[in-house]
Amino acid sequence: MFTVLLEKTVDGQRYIDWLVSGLGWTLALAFFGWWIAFAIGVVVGIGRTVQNPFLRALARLYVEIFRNIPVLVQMFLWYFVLPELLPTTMGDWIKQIPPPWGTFLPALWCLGLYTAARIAEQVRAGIEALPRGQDEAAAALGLSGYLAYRHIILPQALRLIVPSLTSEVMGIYKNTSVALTIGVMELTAQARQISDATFQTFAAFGAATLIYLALALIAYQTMMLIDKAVRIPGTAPGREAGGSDFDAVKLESPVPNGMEVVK
Amino acid sequence: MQQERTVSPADPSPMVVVEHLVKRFGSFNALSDVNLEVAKGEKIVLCGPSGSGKSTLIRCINHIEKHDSGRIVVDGIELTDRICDINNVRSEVGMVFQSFNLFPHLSVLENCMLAPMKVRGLAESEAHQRSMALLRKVRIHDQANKYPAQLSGGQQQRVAIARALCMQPKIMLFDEPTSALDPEMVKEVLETIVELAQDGMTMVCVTHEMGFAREVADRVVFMDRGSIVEEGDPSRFFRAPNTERAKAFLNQIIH
Ligand SMILES: Nc1ncnc2c1ncn2[C@@H]1O[C@H](COP(=O)(O)OP(=O)(O)O)[C@@H](O)[C@H]1O
Ligand SMILES: [Mg+2]
Repeated sequence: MFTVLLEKTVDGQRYIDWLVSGLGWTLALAFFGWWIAFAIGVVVGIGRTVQNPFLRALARLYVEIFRNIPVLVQMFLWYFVLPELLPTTMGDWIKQIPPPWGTFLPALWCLGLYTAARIAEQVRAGIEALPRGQDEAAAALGLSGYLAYRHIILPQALRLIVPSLTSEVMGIYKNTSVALTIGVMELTAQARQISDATFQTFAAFGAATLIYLALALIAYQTMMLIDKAVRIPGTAPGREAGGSDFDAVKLESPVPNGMEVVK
Repeated sequence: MQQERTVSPADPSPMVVVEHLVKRFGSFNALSDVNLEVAKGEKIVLCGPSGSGKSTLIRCINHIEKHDSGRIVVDGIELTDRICDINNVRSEVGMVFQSFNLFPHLSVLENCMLAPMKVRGLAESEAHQRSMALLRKVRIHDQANKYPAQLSGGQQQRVAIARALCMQPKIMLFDEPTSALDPEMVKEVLETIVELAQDGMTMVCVTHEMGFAREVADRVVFMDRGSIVEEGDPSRFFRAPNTERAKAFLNQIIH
């Protein structure tokens, strides 16, 4: 049924090449978006837990804004609205960024900032789940502020939230498909293009679905390996941070939960 | 043991001075007007009923808890909100907690080496050497590469003592160091603390272990409801306390 994918397209390629190109953009969005999200998420998550009330409020504001506006709306805001809000020269400059990048960069930025807000909440939950004694022991040794976060708090909090970060990894890669709405030719957009060109809707979207599934499994297995690699010797496997309000994937039960990505 | 009780008169300036200390949690006075002086080399055992403010007092001494009024002077430095002073003081004051509070993600050796390197700026080789020497002193050097979760409670507490000692503190504060331990492990930890006392370390130890108090304490300080009610020589205190409250307390822990 997928033989249509091997047929030639009007531009001399095969349809499968369209899918591969779409896959490339999907991966690029998910991968680079993830690192943007992780970097910002950790900083904002720390911000949620510091003493300084101004920084705490700022971090809270970030989370509330980016977590509560639908990704699709955020995508439109970055792509359509932002250039209009900026000074004309700057807006025009943004609008003139050449084709793949003109849509890819806003999409990347959008996914990164949105996911960052979600990761920030996980990081905060992880930090708050640590026993108070850890802070105090660090302080009693003269390790405070930066040193305590860097060497005591973050290393433990991040280990604690690997299971819930797994669902954020899944989340960002599923959300990449929203980028098609501003014209990024990622996997779903290519599938639609194939379907439009060949009328083989089932083959086109069936292939895309299988690819998404395979990616989910790979992402999931990778996170499981990471969880195993960073586990503290002598402790029980797969603990979860308390207070997480998301559908955290449980690492102990491999496939069934991992498959929730298709829904 | 008796003859070792005398405090060395070489340096008369006290290690810790606490004057008119008040600490509130909301409207509740956890400490009201506490006065205490700890001489250099002196060993103080702090006891009293649960909730009497013992932990709060020693936590104020290294500023884990901020006091509301009164003065605390540690080795000549007054505790205020100045960050650099606080960290200076904290690195001179070693603290051992009831629940050990080792860093679970670091090996025993790394637990010991971290603060000397990051706070004191020691080179890795030097921190390593010092840590191993102190782990040997608490007889746990053969476990140096294990993680806290792989050790027994008694072993963890001895690591916690070594970790505090690695900062070469001038005074050690112990907050019920043996009360989270299974009975068979209490002895190994108390022995470690006794050895430390015999080396001349200044210490304030919250404990209800009377045998230990008799053996090492120069002075027993009894607290109740946020105040120091009575203090004195341990043999006298345990035999014939002056106050009714101390009598009632001692009756409870004996029976
Ligand atoms: N962080 C806190 N917030 C509110 N109350 C506290 C806090 N810490 C201690 N207290 C109260 O202060 C009193 C003294 O506590 P603590 O110093 O821990 O007593 P002890 O160590 O002698 O058992 C207790 O009544 C306790 O409930
Ligand atoms: Mg206590």
